[in-house]
Amino acid sequence: MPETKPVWQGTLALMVLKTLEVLGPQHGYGIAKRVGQTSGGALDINHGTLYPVLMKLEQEGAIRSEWGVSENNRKARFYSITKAGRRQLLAEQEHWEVTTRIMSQFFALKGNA
Amino acid sequence: MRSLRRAFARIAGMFLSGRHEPRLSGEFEAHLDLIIDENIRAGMDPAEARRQALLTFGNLSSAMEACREQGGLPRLEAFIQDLRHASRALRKKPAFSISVVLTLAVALGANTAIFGLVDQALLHPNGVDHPERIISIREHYGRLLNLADLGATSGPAFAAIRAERSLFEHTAALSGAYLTYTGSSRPEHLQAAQVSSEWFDVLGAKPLLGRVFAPEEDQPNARRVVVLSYASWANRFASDPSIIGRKIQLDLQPWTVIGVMKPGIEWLGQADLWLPLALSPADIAPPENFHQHLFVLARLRPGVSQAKANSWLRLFSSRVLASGVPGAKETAALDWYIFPKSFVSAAFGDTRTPMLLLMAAVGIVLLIASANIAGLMLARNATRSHELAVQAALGASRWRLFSRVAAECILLSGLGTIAGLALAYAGMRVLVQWAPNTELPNGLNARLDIDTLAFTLGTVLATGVLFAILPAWQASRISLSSTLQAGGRTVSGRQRMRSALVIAEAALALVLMVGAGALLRSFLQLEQVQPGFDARGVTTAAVSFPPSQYSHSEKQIAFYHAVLDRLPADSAIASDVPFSGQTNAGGFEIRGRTSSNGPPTHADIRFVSPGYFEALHIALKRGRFFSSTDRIGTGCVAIIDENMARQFWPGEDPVGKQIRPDALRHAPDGSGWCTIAGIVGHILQTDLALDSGRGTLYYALYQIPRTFPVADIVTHGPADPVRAAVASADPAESIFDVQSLSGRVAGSLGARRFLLQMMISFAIAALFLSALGLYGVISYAVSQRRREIGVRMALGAHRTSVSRMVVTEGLRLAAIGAAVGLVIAAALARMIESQLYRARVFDILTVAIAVTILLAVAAAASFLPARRAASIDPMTALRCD
Repeated sequence: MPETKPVWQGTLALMVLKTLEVLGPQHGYGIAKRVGQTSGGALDINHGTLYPVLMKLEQEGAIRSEWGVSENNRKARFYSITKAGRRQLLAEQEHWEVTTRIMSQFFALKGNA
Repeated sequence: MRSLRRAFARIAGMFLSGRHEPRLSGEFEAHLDLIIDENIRAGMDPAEARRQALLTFGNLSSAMEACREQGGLPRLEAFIQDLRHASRALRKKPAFSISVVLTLAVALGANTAIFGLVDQALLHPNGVDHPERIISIREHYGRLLNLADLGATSGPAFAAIRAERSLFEHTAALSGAYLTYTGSSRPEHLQAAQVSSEWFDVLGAKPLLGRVFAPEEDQPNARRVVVLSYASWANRFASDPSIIGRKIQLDLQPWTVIGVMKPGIEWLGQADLWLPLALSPADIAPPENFHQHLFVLARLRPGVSQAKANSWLRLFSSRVLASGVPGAKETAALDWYIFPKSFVSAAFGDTRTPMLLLMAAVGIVLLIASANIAGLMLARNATRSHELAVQAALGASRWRLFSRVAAECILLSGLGTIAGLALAYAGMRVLVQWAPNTELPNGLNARLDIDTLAFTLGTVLATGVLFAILPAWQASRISLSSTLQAGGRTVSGRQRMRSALVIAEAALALVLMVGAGALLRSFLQLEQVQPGFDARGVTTAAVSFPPSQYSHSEKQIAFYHAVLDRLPADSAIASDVPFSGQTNAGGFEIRGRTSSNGPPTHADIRFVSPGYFEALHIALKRGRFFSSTDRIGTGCVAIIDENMARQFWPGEDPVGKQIRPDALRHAPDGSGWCTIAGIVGHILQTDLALDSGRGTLYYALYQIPRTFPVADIVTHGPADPVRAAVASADPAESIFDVQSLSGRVAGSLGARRFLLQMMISFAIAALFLSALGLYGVISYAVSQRRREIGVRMALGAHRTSVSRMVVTEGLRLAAIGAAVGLVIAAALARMIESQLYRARVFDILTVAIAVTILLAVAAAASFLPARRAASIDPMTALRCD
């Protein structure tokens, strides 16, 4: 198994939002699986750590939740992204891209040696 | 925006935490089931599937914990837990907790009560809207004795001010009157205020029921309408809501009630009801320009300053003087003008300094109380430092330590504040009942409004910083190792701080004692002042004469005769009696003199029956008193007092000279002259502390062809014979305002007496609290120094020398405090000087007595600890730790 890194705090929220934007309404397990898959296994999270993040996002109004039925007929709580959440995602995405671009320029600087 | 939403969600989450958990655990279970299903599909058996699922999910309880923290406000919840601990800890130490809460409650309550009254009186008079926009119209007579600020003005001036709409939004006038209400079992005398139609507009006061006067009702011969005060509506008409439109009998005439005012608007004479003033055109035209009988208030238009009003009034005054109206020439020589005074200082001005003094005194008591509490908290820190050190060793952060101590302080403050507010409300009720009506502003209620509550909160925060934060901060600085090792030996800095606090308390207590002592001396001096008449055994009672019944002076004079015939010989009747709060004054001419030379001819005036001077034992200096031979038809006689004789006839004998009152100046055929028949001793009219210097001019009541609305009957002995005499002279009449004359004279000292009583109470409280503080410090020092004392005694020190040592320590602290206190008192001396009558603050005797009392109390406070120190057994002291 490739070396897994711990997930940075704030980024987990963004991953959750993006996942919900792409996949539509999901339950907690679905989100956790998807995050693991998307990172190609490089990020390993305990599923339980998702829940405080989900709670925070719900408090902020970026996602909403309701009870539903999963694909194998089990009761589960489904989360979906709200309009405010989409806005937040867009803003953060731009912010990330700008940051990345600036940092790459810095890392591209060559030394004198 | 997001964080705001989150904050609200978390606050709600604190209270709804019970709701989250079942839902979350259900969600976790569902999540686990989904993982287990997948694991089973991947081929694991159920037990293995579950085990792997739990690994994948992670720790269930820490996930739950993380969610709980996210859902609520962990720091706040921790603090609430600290509060719970604090309440438990405080309950274990009832003596400490109760003494802190009680001290705080009493000090806070007293301060809030006093501030509440001061705020109502000086800052926000009850029922008045924006009092700073209202001015009172006053008149100034520069060349007349003590008439530099006359609180009344004339009808023409009132009309002119009212007409000047560009400066004055509303103008109104008030004149007092008495009416008899006959509608209940006995006729009752009511204090009425006759006001012009804009009176309530000037004040910005709205009625509770009905309406106030319309301009057309404020005319002579208009419909008889009346507005009731809240108190008389509640007391006499049982708060009947259908009172509007009902007719009530006043002075045997029917009057329609058109409105009831809100409570608290009775001031300016405790009016029971308001009538229209109904000035006639003659009242507001010459020659009324210098007849001052109206109290006028005006509300300045927004943007108009008092200075602007002042210049307009001065201009108006000079125009009147130049206009040639009757009396203008003579008045011009008297340096006369009209000027404005702010409403608050006009209504409550005299009471400003005493109220500020009270606030300062009670503030000092609060400071002392706070110092005591701080000392108690510091002492508690000493006993608690061990426990806190253990907690710190177990990992509590500095914030948590501070939070624990602060929680105790907040709990104590909170309890103290609630108890304090309750005490304040009760205290205000007591003060309002007990305080004299005469000079303390009337219309004060016991109520805690926003300002007062804000003041209380501010005081609590300030004292909280004083007595809580400092000890709490100190507690959090606990040094672990030294505390755990040494077993709680005291930090000497703490003891020094407590001693400094005690010295400060002693200083403040001395300041209060010196102040109270000065007021006491001044008051005792005042009580010795002789007013010029003998009030012993004299009863006064008032009678009012409704104009409908007593329209002719003959009928009034007949009434006087009828009443006096039925009373013992040493009774009399007068237009008013001294110390009744009213004076009439007027000018006069002296026959054979022009008004330009000599002092302005002006004096207080009183109309009296024969026997008046004898009844009050006013001395006859020359000539004779009035007698029954002075009647209508016989020559007019007047009696002057020594001041008048000295002022206007220096070096001559005034008896036999003639004067004419200004009121009769334009009498036909040069009549109206009165011959001076005698000279009597000068008397004080209103205040034992203040002699206006004006002389008094007496006219014979039986000779005067005018009617009086009210007269006072003077008699020796009880009031019942007077009641009977009045009833038999006219069954429709009754007496009111029955008081002993000595009661009136003593009553004039009412405000001073009240101030004195309060100051003495505060001084005693301050002394008591300081003694408590001193006791605490000294007994703590004794308990800390047990070993040292044990050593001393083992080495041969006598018990008495040990106790002497302790008492000396107490006296030392008190003496330093006294010295500091004297310095402070010297600095503040001026504040109190205005309230003193012929006394100075730094009277050697008073100061010496105050210092002695302080030292004696300090010695007494050190007595118990000294005894305890002396009874220390050296063996046990040296043995245990």
